[in-house]
Amino acid sequence: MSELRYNPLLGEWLATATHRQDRTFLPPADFCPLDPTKPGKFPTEVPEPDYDIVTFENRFPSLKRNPEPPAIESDGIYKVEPSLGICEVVLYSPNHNTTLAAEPVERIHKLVRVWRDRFESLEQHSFVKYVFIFENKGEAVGVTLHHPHGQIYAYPFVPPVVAKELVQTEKYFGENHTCLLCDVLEKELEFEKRIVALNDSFAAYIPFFARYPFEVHISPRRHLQAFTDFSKQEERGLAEIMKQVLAAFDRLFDRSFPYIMAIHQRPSDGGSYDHYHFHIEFYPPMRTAEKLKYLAGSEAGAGMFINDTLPETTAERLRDLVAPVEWK
Amino acid sequence: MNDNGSDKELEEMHRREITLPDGRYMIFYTFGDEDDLKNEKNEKGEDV
Repeated sequence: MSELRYNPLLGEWLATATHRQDRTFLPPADFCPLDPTKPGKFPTEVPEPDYDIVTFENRFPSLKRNPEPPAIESDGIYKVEPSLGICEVVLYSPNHNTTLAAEPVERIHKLVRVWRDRFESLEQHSFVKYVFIFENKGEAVGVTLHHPHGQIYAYPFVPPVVAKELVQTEKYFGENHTCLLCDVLEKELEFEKRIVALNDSFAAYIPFFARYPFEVHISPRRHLQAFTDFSKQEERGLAEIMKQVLAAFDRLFDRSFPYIMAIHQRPSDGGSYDHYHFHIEFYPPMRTAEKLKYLAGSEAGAGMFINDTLPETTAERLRDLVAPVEWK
Repeated sequence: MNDNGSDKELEEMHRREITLPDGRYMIFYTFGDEDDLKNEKNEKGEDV
């Protein structure tokens, strides 16, 4: 059972999804439901092994193409809607024992092309207003299956974090006639100390306003709104800088580094978003090799983050771990 | 600064969609020459 409920205090929608309580939780590696089915073994969710990347509708979705009616009716300020949308899982590899960071840059390049294809396909649905591509990596951020994978949520509305960015970027554009993210990037390139990696097409940096110690942002140097605006060189450039950042993350504490990766693109609701700028945000929960950054009272209850580090220092640490990328 | 070291083109992308028994869709993405991919499958004795 799932439905969308509106929070009139925050002006935001949330989803209930009670069936997700029953989803597979940290199974042993031999019983991973995302591995390809092996002859004579139990049937997994993926019947074939011959693929580079595979995507499919989530077995336990928060949003569905054909949602059931809500369990409760709207009543005045309490608005309820069916949980219309699409939730996809994207498997990065048939190999269970790998991560995006450990894969060659060529596979990340393929993934960028698949992300573009999924974005183009999903935004064709008239009910889809926003396509959100993301990855949760590591048990520290709540991962329940270790097979290397990301997810895509196609929402029937523009989600609140992006909506807030849209308000800010539109306001800035109106006042300054320039893109806010272009100006952020210019500041970061000029200051240099918060830059983590750089190529002709993209910059990776821990921004001046980072909320997490190792909160890397990756932005295209050209003013682009979505994957569909990328040139082939920019697809390669993104793959390359992602490989550098992810590998540096793993070197930081000599372990597979947990993170949430959020890809922010323009909405898919037919509006004009020239003021918006594509970017990727990483929210790693680790603040030291042993300590996690929790969302506590000020962060969760008031919305003010407290960063225990300086971005200038953490960016330098990461930058020192960035290595050149080898293309085959 | 890195200069996007490779100018190598990404191989051609192929997508094949199937419907799972419960009605969900699944899309397999492969990259490369389609004939090479078919030959590879033939060598393994699989249906193409």
